[in-house]
Amino acid sequence: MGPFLLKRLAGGLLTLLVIATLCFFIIRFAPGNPFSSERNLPPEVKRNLEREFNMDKPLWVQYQLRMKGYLSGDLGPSIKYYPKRVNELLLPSFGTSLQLGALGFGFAILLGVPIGILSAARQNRIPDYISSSLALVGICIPNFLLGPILVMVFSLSLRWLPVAGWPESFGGEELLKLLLPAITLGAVHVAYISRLTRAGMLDVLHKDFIRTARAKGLDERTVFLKHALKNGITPVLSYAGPMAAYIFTGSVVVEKIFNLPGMGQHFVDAALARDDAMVMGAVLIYSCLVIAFNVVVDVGYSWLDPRVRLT
Amino acid sequence: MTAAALEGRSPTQLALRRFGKNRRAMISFWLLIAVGLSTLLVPLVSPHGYTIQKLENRKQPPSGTYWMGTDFNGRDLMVRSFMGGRISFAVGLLATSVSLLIGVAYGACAGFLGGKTDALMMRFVDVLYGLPHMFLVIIVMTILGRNFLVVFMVLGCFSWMTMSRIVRGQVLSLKEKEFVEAARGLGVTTPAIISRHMLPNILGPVIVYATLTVPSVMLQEAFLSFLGLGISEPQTSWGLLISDGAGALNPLRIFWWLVVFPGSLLAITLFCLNSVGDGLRDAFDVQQK
Amino acid sequence: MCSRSSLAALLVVALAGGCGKTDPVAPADPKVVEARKLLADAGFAEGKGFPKLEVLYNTDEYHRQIAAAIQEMWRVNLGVAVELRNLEFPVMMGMVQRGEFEIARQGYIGEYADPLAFLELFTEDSKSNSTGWKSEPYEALISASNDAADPAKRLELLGQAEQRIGDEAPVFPIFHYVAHNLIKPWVKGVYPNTRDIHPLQGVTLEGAGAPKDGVLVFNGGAEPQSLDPALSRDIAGYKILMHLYEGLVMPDAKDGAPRPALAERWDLSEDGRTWTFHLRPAKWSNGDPVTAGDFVYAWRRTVDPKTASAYAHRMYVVDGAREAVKGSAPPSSLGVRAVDDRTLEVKLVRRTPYFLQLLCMNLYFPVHRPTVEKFGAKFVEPKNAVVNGPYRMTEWSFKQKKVFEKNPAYRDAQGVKLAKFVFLAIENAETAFNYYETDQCHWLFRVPLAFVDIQRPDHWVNPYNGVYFYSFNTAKKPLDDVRVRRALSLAIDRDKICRYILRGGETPAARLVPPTSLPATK
Repeated sequence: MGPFLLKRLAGGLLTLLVIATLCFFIIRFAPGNPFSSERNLPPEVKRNLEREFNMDKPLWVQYQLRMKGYLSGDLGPSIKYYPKRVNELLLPSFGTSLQLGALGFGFAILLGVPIGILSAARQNRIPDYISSSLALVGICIPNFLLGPILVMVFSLSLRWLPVAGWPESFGGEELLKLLLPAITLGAVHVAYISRLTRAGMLDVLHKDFIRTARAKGLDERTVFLKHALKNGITPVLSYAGPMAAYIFTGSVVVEKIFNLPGMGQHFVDAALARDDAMVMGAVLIYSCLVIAFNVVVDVGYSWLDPRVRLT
Repeated sequence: MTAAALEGRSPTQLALRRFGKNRRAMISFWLLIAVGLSTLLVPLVSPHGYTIQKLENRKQPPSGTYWMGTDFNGRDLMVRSFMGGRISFAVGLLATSVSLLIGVAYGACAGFLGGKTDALMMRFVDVLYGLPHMFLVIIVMTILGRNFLVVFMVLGCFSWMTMSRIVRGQVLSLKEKEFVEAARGLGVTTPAIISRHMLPNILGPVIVYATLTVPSVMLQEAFLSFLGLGISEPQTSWGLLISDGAGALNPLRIFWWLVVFPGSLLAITLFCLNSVGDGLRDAFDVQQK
Repeated sequence: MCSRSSLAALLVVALAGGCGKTDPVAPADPKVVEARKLLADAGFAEGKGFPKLEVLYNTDEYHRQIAAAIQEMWRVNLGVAVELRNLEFPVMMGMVQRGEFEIARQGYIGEYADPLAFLELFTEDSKSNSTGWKSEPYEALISASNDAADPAKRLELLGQAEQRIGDEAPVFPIFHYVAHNLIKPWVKGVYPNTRDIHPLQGVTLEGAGAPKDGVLVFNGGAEPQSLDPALSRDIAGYKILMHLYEGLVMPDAKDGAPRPALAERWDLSEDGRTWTFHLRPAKWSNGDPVTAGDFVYAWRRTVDPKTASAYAHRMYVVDGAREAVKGSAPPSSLGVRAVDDRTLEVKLVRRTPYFLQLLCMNLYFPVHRPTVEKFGAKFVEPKNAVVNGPYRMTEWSFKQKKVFEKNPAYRDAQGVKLAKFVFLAIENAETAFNYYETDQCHWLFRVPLAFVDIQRPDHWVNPYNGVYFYSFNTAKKPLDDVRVRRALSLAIDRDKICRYILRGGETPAARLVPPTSLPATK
């Protein structure tokens, strides 16, 4: 793997370390933490938690032990649902959150890029106006507003689509349940990606090598798709990284609106209930997901642009 | 040619003139003022109080008495929507101010000090960028409690990064410009250089990004309130109102006004703020790569 | 924290400035007038100086609207401001149990149709009494009622005790429940009853629309707090436990009254204090026979202070239970013994006419000793659990579905008509309703507020033996002052809440005990 990828991976791991450290310190020391006198936990629970966190040992050792725990995938005990562990409470819903995130991500790219290409090709004509209007709508209608509106129109009034829930199987009917969540989650990003693609393509289309390709007699489609796209798509890839973070953040809201069994619901409940351990565990898992997506994007980036690989 | 016509205009004034010519931006600007004034005036003028519950009038569609209908506890939606607007605007403006203060100070220092300190400071910003931002906000809100003060402070504290980068970039480029060298040569002190020569020049991009930060922060507050982690009863904000509306959706009776009215206000405000910000960006001709 | 929230409050007041329109309060309402006077007597005239208290409720539209209405009523009528906070049900219950609250929403369904079921909650023994309120005269009245041989006298004493609750207001009731069930028309073998208990063994799915896989899906409405029979105290838990285990007697499908289950018949001594149960032959799901010893073990476990059951006080009718729970006697001194493998003898403290109803409760179920000893707290997990009821749990996922299948080792496996059912834990009534309308769920125990007054053949409504109330934590100032509590209670317009928010036929509660537990309506 090129130095670029290694650098990015290292950056990602550093971020995870920062978050894991934050986890430890917040659970241990934040105001109202389980070990403070303010919290009225049953004595056995308190004793067990103290044992889990090795309170009898010096702070540095406590930290190391917890970090080792995180490394081996153990997210510690939940405070509100003691003695259940954060892992067993969150992991069943992890799959759903991952799939939902991938759905939103894929939807945004698969719809955004073609719209962007079309807009660049038909600049200032109808498809272009459509895409720029969509972009506008995307910016000012947040996903938690779009979702209920879509549900009101398509599920409740027109009854074209099912209201809520996660597909039980792979049947066509069931998969329809994914449509509104995907749109809600990805709409904003479709808008951004299409604008970015359009700008990137337009940028590239003015370059000399495109002129050469055209002069060579290649038809527009080949010019577009074979030569321009590879380079025009780079701004999209730069956006795709941060987009992963937004998608997972947005998934919390989408899960609430459509009652999807993902981690978001548990995360919010844990936040309301001051179950610090579960909140931090969820954040750690989400961060891993975001970083994983970022790495995938970086791999794509370095594959598309060989120059990057060598930096 | 009169003397007045020969008066030089500062870059800021020129930019504002350009802005004035941008139709979309100007319309958005006035629309924004209209919404803002409404949030102040409507609750004062309306015969309904925002907390007054008339349980007999629950969930009524828009009518003569209740122009935007009532909510689940018989409160007038119009007044609540505009009260919510006050809170949303307030959070937006206050948080942006916080992020401005931090961002400008941080970025100016980094840019000015340069070298290793700059690199370190910017590396710190990079790490912050890598963290899933909203989750951290939620964590802090969980710990500190959910009142108005905490909300805008926390949102402000997590929004200054872009601003600091912009400011740093500007300061770096300005540092090398000749007029600064000249000023230095003339013996002007550093604070004077910063305040008299640099700040006016970075004012443009700062205004632009501040204007663009407001909708971003408002959106974040609405997001938090939607999840139930932001503003709490009996205060309200657009996010909370939309959340209530979304919760009331069912196949039997569609209480559309609960979602549509606060939602429209939010959408219009975000749209206008973004248009104004874009307009300013074009007007100041800020290049951001 | 103090200065931060006051600064915040200041900012909000500034923002809300120019908008504090108060409705002119109907001065004619005598209750509100009295409430204001009481509050002033307590030193908080017009609500000045009253601290901002926190009201807890579990996350749900219905609880939220009621809480918001109460918040506003206190503000308008008394000038008292409170903050609302919502938590999920198991978390809230935990906090209430530990006294980590100021004012909290509660609901209580009587396990047996008698005023004592509700009044017992406030005795010193009761672990369910999270209000911290104690009263000697109250205890005396309850004791006296227990000793009264004449039923009329007994009820009179209980009535006096109830009056004390009204006067001292450690809690304030809002309304008496009405059970709403939404059941698909092809679900047969279901009967409405005031306990709203529906054993599923006898249920069949027949008719147009019945699912081909023959699996009934119902929404239990919340994640059960625990699946340990000694610990579980919520309805969602009971709905599950009554299918996994079988006790001496179990509720009948038609009216919820106790019918013989594991106990084939029983004898009662002359003084009414000794019950002797004769058990049927039955097996645990792993093949071991169910013996009287299993009951002895389970009951001792319930009163064992190490188990820390918050429900143990329901066993105080059994001789020695009180002492065991308090730790002054070992659990083995409990008045229950296995005469032989199929005969169980129970000694009670006094004559208890409703004892059979008590026996239907989960804390009287038997448990399989080797399993508990081997797995400890994890004995409830599907892969470990050994049960003797009509069903076994084959799948369990946190906050999602739990799947139950017929237990082939059950003593009357042939009689179990419904082979498989699924329990959902959807707390949000609107979401659950959506599931029902799209046939993903076939039975709801609660309907969304928008639906309550809609009449449909699949919508069943009947009085329910329960009361919805708010608890005060009398250990926290100023809730330790009776006048404050009474003022807060009087300032609520229960009629409005029932008529406009609930609209389902609930009755505003002037008193704690619902009509379903009183003789006139039996």
